[in-house]
Amino acid sequence: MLLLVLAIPCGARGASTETNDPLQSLNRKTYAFNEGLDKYILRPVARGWDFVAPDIVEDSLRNFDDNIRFPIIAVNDILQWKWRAATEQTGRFVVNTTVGILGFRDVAAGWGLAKQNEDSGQTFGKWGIPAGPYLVLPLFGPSNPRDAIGLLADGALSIYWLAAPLYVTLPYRTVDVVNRRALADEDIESARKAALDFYVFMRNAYRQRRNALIRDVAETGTGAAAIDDNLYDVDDPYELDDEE
Amino acid sequence: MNSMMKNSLTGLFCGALLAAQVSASGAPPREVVDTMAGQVLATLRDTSLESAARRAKVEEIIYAHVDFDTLSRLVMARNWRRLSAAQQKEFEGLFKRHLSDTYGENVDNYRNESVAILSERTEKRGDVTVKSKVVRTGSDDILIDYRLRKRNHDWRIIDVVIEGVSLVANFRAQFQDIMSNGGADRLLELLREKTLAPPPE
Repeated sequence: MLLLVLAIPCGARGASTETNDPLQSLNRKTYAFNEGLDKYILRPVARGWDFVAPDIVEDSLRNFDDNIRFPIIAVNDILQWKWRAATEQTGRFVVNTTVGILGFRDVAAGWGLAKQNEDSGQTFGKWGIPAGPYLVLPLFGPSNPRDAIGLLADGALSIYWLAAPLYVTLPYRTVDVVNRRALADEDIESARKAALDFYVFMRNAYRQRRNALIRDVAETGTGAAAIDDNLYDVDDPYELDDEE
Repeated sequence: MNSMMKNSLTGLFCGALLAAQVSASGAPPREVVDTMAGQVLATLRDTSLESAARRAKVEEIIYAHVDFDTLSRLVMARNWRRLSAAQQKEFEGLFKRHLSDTYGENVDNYRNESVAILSERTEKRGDVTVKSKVVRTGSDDILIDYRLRKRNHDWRIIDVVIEGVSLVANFRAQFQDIMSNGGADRLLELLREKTLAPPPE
């Protein structure tokens, strides 16, 4: 909660580029730990998995996990007063759980019921709660106090923890993480190559992406509005806030 | 009129015509993005091309539609003026090379993606944002916004916003961090390392 207080002094100007990283020295250490974990354990395992698992298996697993995230999405839609989206997502869950065979196939997407990206951190953002300083979480990666609390709330909304014992959910979660890492490998490695400083790349991309999600970039198509127009002034480009 | 003068006049005239045709376009932003996407996709689908040739062709298409001069100034922001003319020139070349390298690498990973132009919007500064969507089979669509600015009668791309993440804002954050810690020399050195370009004499 103390961290939430730290959140207040972030200027509105340059929202898409500001730094707000007072905990940088700690964050960099956690980042290095996460990177090591990815380099020596997660990525090698994911590559092995990618080698043995056919694409259809990888896609099906991801679909299954997306489908059981339904309560998180629906509840957050309601908390953001998006009743239409909540209804659509319910329809999506019903269709995919039945016709899509327990959610392994995303049939609903073809029926005009597209997947939605929603979580508790976004809801807090929509309610006007500021993100707070950048925070790298061990294992979970880029975050901030608002989204970290959001993660806890998402965990509470994940009813399957109640439906199945730990010796089922823990291995399941592990497989899901490995599978998603495998699916994202190309994007992640290409980002690593593109970045001159991957830590700063992640910090900035995370902030921009979360802002866009809070503004519902996919549903309303107003994602670019999250970007400060001053960014594009060649004659008087502003300095980025440097809060170190 | 002597023949030499006639020749040079004809030459001038043809040159002007050609120039007019090249920039002729003046095509509206939406069409610029649509044309570019169409050309890139056609190249990616062309199985008769070798990897290197395909990459060169994609690069050529991108270079024709992106305003790298403005892009370089935007990513450097106020730091642009802290570079000498020579450094600015080197930066622009290296940054262009770096972008080509990182994104050109994916030209052989084409998996039946297609591009749909969704809408366009005029921004405060007179720029135009064209919203598009890369449609993929089996995975989620990717939203890509292109920001275009008119320069010498042509609309050119000055930023690409992927799923809400602006390339200009992202590189600006990185470059600013590097500039404040190691200055222009460090930034250029890092870019040289990334692009494997030899340092200037």
